[in-house]
Amino acid sequence: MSQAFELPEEMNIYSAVETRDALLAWIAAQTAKSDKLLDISGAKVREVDGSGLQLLASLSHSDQPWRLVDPSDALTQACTQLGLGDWLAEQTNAA
Amino acid sequence: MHNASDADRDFIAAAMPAFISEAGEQTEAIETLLLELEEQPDNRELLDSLFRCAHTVKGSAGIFGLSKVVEFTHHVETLLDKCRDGELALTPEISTLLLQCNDQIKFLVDTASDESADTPDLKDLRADLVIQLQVYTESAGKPTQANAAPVAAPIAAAAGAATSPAPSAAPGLTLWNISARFGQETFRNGMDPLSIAKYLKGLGHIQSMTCAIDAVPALVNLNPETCYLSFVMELESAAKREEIEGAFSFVADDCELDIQCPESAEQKLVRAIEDMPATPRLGDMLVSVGAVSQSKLTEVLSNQEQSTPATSGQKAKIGNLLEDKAGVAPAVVEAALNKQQKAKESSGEENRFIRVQADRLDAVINLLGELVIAGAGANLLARETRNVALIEANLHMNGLIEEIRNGTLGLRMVPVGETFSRFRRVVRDTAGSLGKEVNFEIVGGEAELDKSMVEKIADPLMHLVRNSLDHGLEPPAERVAAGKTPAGKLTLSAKHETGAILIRIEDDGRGINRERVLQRAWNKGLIEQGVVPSDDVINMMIFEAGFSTAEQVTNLSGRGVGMDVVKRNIEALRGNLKLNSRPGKGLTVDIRLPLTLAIIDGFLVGVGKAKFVLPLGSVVEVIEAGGQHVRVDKNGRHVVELRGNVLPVVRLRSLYSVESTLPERTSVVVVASSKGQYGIEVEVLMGQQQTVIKPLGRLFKTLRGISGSSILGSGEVALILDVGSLGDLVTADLHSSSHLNRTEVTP
Amino acid sequence: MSHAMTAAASFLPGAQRSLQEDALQYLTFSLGDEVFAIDIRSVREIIQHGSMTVVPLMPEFVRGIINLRGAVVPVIDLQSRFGRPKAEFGKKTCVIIFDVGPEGDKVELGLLVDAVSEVIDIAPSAIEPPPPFGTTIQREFIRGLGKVGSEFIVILEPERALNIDDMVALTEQNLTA
Repeated sequence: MSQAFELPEEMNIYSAVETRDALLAWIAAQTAKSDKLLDISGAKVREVDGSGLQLLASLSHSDQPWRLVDPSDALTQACTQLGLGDWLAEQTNAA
Repeated sequence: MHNASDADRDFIAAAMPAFISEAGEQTEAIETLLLELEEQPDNRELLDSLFRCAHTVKGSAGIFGLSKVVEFTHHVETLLDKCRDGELALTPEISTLLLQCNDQIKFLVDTASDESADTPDLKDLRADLVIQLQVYTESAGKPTQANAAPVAAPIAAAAGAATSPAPSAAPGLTLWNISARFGQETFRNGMDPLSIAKYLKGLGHIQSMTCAIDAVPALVNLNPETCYLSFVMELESAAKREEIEGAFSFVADDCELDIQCPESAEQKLVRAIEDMPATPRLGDMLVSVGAVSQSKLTEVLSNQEQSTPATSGQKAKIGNLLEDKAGVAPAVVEAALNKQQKAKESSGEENRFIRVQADRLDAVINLLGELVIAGAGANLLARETRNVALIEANLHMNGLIEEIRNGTLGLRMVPVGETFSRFRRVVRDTAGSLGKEVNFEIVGGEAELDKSMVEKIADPLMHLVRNSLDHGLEPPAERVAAGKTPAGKLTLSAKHETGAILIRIEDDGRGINRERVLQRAWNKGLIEQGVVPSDDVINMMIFEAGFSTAEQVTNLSGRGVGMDVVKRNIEALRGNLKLNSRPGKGLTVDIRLPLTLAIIDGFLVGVGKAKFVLPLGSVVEVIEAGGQHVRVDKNGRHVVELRGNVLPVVRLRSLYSVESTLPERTSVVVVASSKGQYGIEVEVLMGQQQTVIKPLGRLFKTLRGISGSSILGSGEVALILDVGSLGDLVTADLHSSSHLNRTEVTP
Repeated sequence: MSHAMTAAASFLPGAQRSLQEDALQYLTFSLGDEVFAIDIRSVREIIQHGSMTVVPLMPEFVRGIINLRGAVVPVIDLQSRFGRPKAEFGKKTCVIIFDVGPEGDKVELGLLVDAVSEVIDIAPSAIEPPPPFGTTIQREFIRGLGKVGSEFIVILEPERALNIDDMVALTEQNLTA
């Protein structure tokens, strides 16, 4: 019922600022409507680099509770490679 | 603006070609070694060299950040390590696998700067090769599992071979604790912690990995282009510290990096010795790393004089003394001794060669060529002065100039063996795919030839070798039926003759089928029906365009487009081809090439005001003017008689419409071409001269009979006659004798 | 020794002046009564005609080859190239050393002309395309007609007039004829 924010195909340094701005805008809009758990979808993510993962990590330090749904293989793999495997597991299972 | 990494990037770009070239040498060496090892799979030295080559490629690639090369080569290196330790036997299957892997390493190196060259298919191929490598690596040392079928088991499972409890490394490997806190500018400098992590993964096995994100601010405060990440990992790897540090070289300036490994004190000392710059003295090395104190060393040294064993007159070795008296661990002494040895070897090795850019060498050679011409000119002027001292001084100088020029030309000479060795692989694969067995031998590889000629002769030679494999050598069954050994013999040899090099391809196969070739030549109209020329002429038919008697046109040769190109290429190098076929017994192909294309030993002749140079090697004899030797035979051809033989004659004067008064006496120079001997009628004989060849340029490329020009000492330009194609014009003479008769009256 | 005397083209009268900003400089020379112009940027030098080695079996427009400080340069007889009888050597006959061909594959040629005149400026706006007929030489060899004062000077198009491949083709025809 609640929409999810679709993370873009490319989560890297080239799109970092854009993605951050889009995320912030979306979060602001969502929280204005309700204060449910925010769904961020990683289904479309194809390319990730350190800055992309950092972006997600920074969500964890924000006030809004959120969870990651449908992380793509690319996203999961990148998290594991950088040592964020456990963190990813936590985020996907957040209730 | 981070200047250090810009400088790094410029360095990389400038050094990349040298890396590709040197890595290319390593992969070639790997191939040669693998093929040698097929004959002697237990040779420890070869196995050692093989490992070192792979290790060198991996190391250099690491410096350039070429993670694909490093990752892939690492797996190869792991397997080679087992081989050289004797844990894994180098079987033909493994050898074939390694050859394929080497091809991939070569591909990755060559395309290092071009990401788009790599295709998904190749990536899959490499992944597959890696799996096969890992299977063999794991089976090493376990005799019962030697022939396990390929299984997708990651290398982590192999940790079972280790005897020490986790978390520590398997024998031969070190467990590194790496902690990296990346600087804020990391992303802005174009670097990425994720790719560094991936690269490190390629160096070994990651036992644990955690990324710390506590420094990352909330989204609303985050500058996405600033880096707040750090990670900590435990890496089990055979890599040295420098290699691991190498992974961080581009971020080192603003990254807090800590690399630790639990080492024994002894290991630390050994590592310290290896890290040291080369120091010749054993004692100094040990003091620098702290293995022994300076005072203790002095003590031991002074005792050395006195510790000479009574039984032998030799001084006791420092190493032994330090072990015994100073308590230095044997392993540490050994490390220091190894370092000494390596230092000696590498300084010897490094000093033997200097890498020179080919075009700089060519520029020097050109200048020297002009110097020769200038010297000849000065010589002429000196002679006019009739000043003996000046003439002698000039001669002396010219002599020195020629020596320098010859020496410099010699710099371009490379042993043909290097090129010949490349054929081994082709012969092996080709013979295999044709179902033939071949013993391929290379003789005389040390013979040297000009580098550019070697490059140009490689393709024609390859074609001739393939021809032998394809058409000459018979399949094993047929050979046995003919009373021969099942494996055919193919020999590629090189030998020096005066001023030339003889390259010979010899096989013991069927030889040329004379009847079939003759029939074919009749069918194609190359020889007049019913006419049976000499065996030599028949054999040379195989080099005619469009000619092929192969029943099925095979993939490799026999399509008829190859052999005529081979002949033309050889002739373009001023070489000639000779065949010797022994039906049923084999074929020998002889290729003679001049040693260099830059200068020519020539015989200078004059016709009218024009001067021509004849290649000295083609001149057989000179019939000097003494009367009119040249006459017209009943067919209208100009001929000359020489000891009972009648030879056709080319009259340069009329052929080239030279303008000037007709002389009374002419001479005939008898020359030899691949088609036989003939005479060239000239007016003035000017003797031998060594001159520099100047190519005529594209405008003259269709010219027949002339192969280039030469600048004489007088500054005049002389044309160099091409004996081969000039001879063809003689045959043309036959059909246009009326054209010749218009200018002169013949006796 | 060789009889060459070299004179750098830039020392000819008029070379230093450049009246209009976008005008290009051309070297003018004569073949018989006619005057032609050629873009000066590809002119390397001008030498007096001296001893030339004839290369047999080449078409008439290839008069021979010369030794230019150790390099062998072919000399093209422009009159002959334009289909007229070959040039006679006069007092002012000289050879223009010229670069022709695509970047990276340039060839040096010598052009045999009756006399060299001067360097002039011609603005692109003063150049008209060659007329469809009535030109004294093949139309493709002309880049344009430059108006200089009250007259028109034929500006050559070297990439076509001196095209190496074309000349090689003609050589081949000549050999098989």
